[in-house]
Amino acid sequence: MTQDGATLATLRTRELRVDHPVPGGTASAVRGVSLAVGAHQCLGVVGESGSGKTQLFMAVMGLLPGSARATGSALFQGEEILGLPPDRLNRIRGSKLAMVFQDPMTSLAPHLKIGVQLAEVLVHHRGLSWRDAERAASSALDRVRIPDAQRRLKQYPHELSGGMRQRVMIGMSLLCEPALVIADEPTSALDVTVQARILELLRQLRAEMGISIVLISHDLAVVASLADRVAVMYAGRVVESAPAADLLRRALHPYTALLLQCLPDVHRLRTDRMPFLAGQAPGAGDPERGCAFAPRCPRATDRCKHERPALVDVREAAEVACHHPLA
Amino acid sequence: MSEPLLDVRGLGVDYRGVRALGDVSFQIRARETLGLVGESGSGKSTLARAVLRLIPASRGQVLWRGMDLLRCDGATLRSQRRELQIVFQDPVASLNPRMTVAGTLAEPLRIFERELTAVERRVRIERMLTRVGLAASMLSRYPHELSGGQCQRVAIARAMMLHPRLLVCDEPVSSLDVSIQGQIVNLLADLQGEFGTSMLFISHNLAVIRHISHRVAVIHDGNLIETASCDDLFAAPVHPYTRALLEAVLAPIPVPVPVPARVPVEVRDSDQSGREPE
Amino acid sequence: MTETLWGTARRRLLANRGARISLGIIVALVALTVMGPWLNPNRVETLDWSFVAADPGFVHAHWFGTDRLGRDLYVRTLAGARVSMIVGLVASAVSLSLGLMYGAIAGYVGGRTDDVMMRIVEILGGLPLIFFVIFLTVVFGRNEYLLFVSIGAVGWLTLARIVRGQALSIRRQEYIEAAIASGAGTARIICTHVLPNVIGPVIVYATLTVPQIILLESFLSFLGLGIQEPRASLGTLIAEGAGEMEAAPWILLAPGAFLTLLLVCLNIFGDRLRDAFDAGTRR
Repeated sequence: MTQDGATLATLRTRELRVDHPVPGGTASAVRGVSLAVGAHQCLGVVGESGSGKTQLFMAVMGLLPGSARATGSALFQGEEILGLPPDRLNRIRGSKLAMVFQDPMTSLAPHLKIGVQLAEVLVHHRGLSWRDAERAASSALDRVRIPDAQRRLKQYPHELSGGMRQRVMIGMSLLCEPALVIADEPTSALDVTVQARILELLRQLRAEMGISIVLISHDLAVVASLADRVAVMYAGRVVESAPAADLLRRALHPYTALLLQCLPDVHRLRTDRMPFLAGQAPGAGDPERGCAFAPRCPRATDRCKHERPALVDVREAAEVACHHPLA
Repeated sequence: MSEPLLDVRGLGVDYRGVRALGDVSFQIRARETLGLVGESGSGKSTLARAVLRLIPASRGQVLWRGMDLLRCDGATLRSQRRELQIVFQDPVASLNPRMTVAGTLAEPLRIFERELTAVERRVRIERMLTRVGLAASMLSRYPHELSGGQCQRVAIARAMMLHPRLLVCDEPVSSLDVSIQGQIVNLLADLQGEFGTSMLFISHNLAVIRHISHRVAVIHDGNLIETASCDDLFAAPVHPYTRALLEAVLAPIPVPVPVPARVPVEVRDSDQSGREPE
Repeated sequence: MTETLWGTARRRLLANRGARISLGIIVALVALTVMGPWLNPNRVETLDWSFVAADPGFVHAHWFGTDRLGRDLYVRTLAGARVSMIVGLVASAVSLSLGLMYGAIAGYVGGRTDDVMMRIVEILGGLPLIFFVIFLTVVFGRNEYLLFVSIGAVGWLTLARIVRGQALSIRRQEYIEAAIASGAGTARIICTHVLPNVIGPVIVYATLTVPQIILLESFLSFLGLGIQEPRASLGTLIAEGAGEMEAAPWILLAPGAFLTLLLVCLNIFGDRLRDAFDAGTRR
């Protein structure tokens, strides 16, 4: 890994693979990913649906279905968490290592009040009494800037708006002062204005609490606003990884460049065609032959179709997997 | 100016004592796209469904070709449905999971053009499938075997099967990846050009609205607060809410992005709506 | 991946040993009832006075023995099994079709129609079946058709409830909205959109209904309220056999064993089918 070799990374994966058995063989959702998130850092992970970005972190959290197999290594604060026994894992999960999911409506239990769900985390992980836990829950809501916290604690999830539910989820993840929060598409189910506010909230929380964040999204715009470093995934592998500002200014991989082109632009004229990426990404079950992006790549050559490019260091702290990178 | 195709007057929907939609009025002309922009909960989906009488309206009129859709009888309404179609937000959910693509596309023909033989139906289906950029091999597939983008194309093909005069699009690209959204938006724009279909295009995504609309209406809390031509609205928004909305759009890149050399915007496509490879 | 729901379910089902074995036995039993009698020279109504209440043996090809009147049990058991199976199948098919359509209409149309339809279901469901049958017998006398009427009155109720529940949740799905927007009428929507999507649980319920109905018929016939002499069903044979239990136990054993084996296998198969479908729908 190019970056942060000296200090201990909060999370470091090495050649992490996720395989699912399917009729007729295996499907590889993640085909060997090595990346790292440093302390107080935000790593953005970008990719289309099916790129493996969610599966990767589900493996880290130990949330894969029973039939799936995760191999490789995932070190959280220096400790291997892949394949950790459930009791050990449960002490880390939800407290030091937290995850916020895309749809807060399905992550929050619909039949329990908000206050109860928040307090339960503290009672379970920190052994607090219910009274103390409820007080802590109230300050958690304050921390995520939900006004009128006392009233909200007594409400059910369906009584809150989407944006507010997401704030509650974020608040829940922060209750035990985690070292790392993994946010999987935290704003995809939300409107543009709410999206901006949630991302702003995450930025402030990072500054206040010093947590590391992994921000997963298919939308480069969402990631760009918050991440220090961005890793772009395609068909189960990382194809480019660089500091955010560098990646946005000068993408190395053609896929990244095209993603940048697809960013919504309010100032685009009506007569222009709206940019897009033709075709679709290969699925987990498709065999790999050469570079996975070659069928859709405008720069693909014969070499690309037969030889898979390895992830190599290119610049200072940047790596790319391409035979013909830009610039 | 010619008669408007669709003239909505004072449309309102009350649901369980709550005013989901206030008194909304607007018009859509032939070959025109009216973009409807608003946040979730603003009532835009309610509006889409009320206009097509998929949910009951509490007040108002929806004048279409001289008749009020909200007051005509069931049979007349059904007969007009061939001219008024809708594409939904969740492409997979809008397709019957137990029906093949062929079956789904055949249904509009079975309802309105019963005199067609099976062969004629097949020809029409294949032609529309190709038109939306899908291979004929898709006909025997089921929705769960297709990607979100492909499902949406099928849904669009179904809607366009009878060349409707008005297509209501309720957030048609919001659940698709950003990289795929352009495929669908371009497709809809092309179809409008080819078939002269008017569109009511609903979205919370301002960039997409900007791209495809001739005129834009902004909805907030169940009321239309501003309606203007697309250029006017984006250049000089009047209502403070519209202004706030425009400002909130994520400034995506802190640094301007130059187009990387030799990477075309659209990836090797002669057919600009992004034909899917077989 | 070009597997349909049915394909996945079928594959899983055939891979399961319990399913294969029970299905095999069911098929064997059916084949036996169809072709078995040809293997034996005795006829159903033949009275063999030289071998009354005889033990099973090979003399005169009385493989299962004979009953009090000298009638060959092998042939009679198979004939009774045939009647039970046919009644079971036909009554099941009718119940299921009725329950399916009734439930689909009630669930999809909803509103007042649903209320009325479900009230009817509840009232019929509250009927104590045996009293109802006895009442009918008193009024109309012993008649085989009463059997069909009584099974018909209750067999479809549970399925109607199940299908209605399914239809209620399907009604809110977006593809139904899309169908309405396409101009489809209520009949078309129910037939092409609602029914195919409720079939899953229906199939499973059907395989569990068939043994239930066979058992119901057997029970009613056992009580003398169903199939009448000289025709036999497994129920009547078991009734006969119960009377001779101490002296000639095989008169009870032959039909009893057949019925038990059939019901057990149908139930096992039904369970496996449900598992296969559940797993099939979970993607």
